[in-house]
Amino acid sequence: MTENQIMKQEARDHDGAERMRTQRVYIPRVDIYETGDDVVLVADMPGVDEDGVDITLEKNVLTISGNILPADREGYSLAYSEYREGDYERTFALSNEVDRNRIEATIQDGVLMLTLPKAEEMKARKIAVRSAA
Amino acid sequence: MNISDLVPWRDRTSLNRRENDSLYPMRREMDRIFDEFFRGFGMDTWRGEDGGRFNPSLNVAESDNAIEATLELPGLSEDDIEITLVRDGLTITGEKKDEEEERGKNYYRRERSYGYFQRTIPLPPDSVDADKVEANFDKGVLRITMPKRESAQSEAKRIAVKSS
Repeated sequence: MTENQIMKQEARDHDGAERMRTQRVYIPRVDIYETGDDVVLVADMPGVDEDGVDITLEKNVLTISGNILPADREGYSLAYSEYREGDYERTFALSNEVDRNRIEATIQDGVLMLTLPKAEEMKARKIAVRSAA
Repeated sequence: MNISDLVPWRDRTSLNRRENDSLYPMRREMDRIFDEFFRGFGMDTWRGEDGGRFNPSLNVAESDNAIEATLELPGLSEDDIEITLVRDGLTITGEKKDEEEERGKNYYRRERSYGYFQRTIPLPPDSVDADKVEANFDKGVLRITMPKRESAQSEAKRIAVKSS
C-alpha cells in the first residue's frame, strides 16, 4: 500500500508578475490553531533559516516567505528525485483579532512558528455569575 | 498495485456524501463487499489518504566517488532520526513528533503530518564504504554522504573507435 507522498505545491505568480529570483516557489504546508491567548501558525519550510525567512504584514495581509540557499551540486547528478529545492511563500488574510504589534516568529529545523497574540478585547472573558436574589 | 485502483469510486475524503443520491446505497454496498473481501485475505482496509502519516521526500544524487541522499525532515531533530547501513541498503527511520498537546488547541488548519516514517534506499552490495558515511542535518534537511568503495568507483573506459 503506498502512502501518500508529501508533494510540494508550486505557488502561482502574483497576477502574472515574475519573481526576481529564478528559484521555484512552493507553498509551505501550515498548521494554524488557536490557544486561549494566541493564534499560532506553524509552517514547514525545510532548508530555510532565520536569514532566509521574511514576514511582512501589510494592511490585513500577512505574507510569509522563505528563501533557500541552493545546495552545491558540484559533480553530482540526480539519480532519483521526489522533490525539488525551492523557495517558499504563502499569504494569509489576518483578522482584526490579532494584535499586530506583538507578533513573534521563530524558526528552527526548517519550521517557522508564528505567534499572533489576540488583541486584548478579543480574548474570551469569563463573566462571573452572581445569583440574582 | 494500489488497492485503491480497484475501488475507484471510493472517496473517503469526499465531504459531500449525497445520501439522496440514488446510487449511494449501491456504492455503500459495494464498499462493504470489498471491505469484507479483502478482510478475508488479512489485508487492512484502505486507509484514508493522507491520514496524518508523515512520508518525507527523498532525493538521491550520485557523483564519481560518492552517493548522496537528501531528505526533507522539517521539525525533526537529530535525536529523532536513526540511520542504518546494511550491505544492500540504507535505511532511515524516525518520528516527527507533534508539538506538545497543550490543552485548548483549536485547529483552523491542519496540513502538516506527523508520525513514524521509514525510507530505504537500495544500494549495490558493498558499493559504499561504511566507515566513511557522513550524515548532516541542517535546517530540516538531512544529507547523507556515502563515499563509494574504491572498487565501485566508476571506471569509465573510453573505447576507441577503429576504422576497419
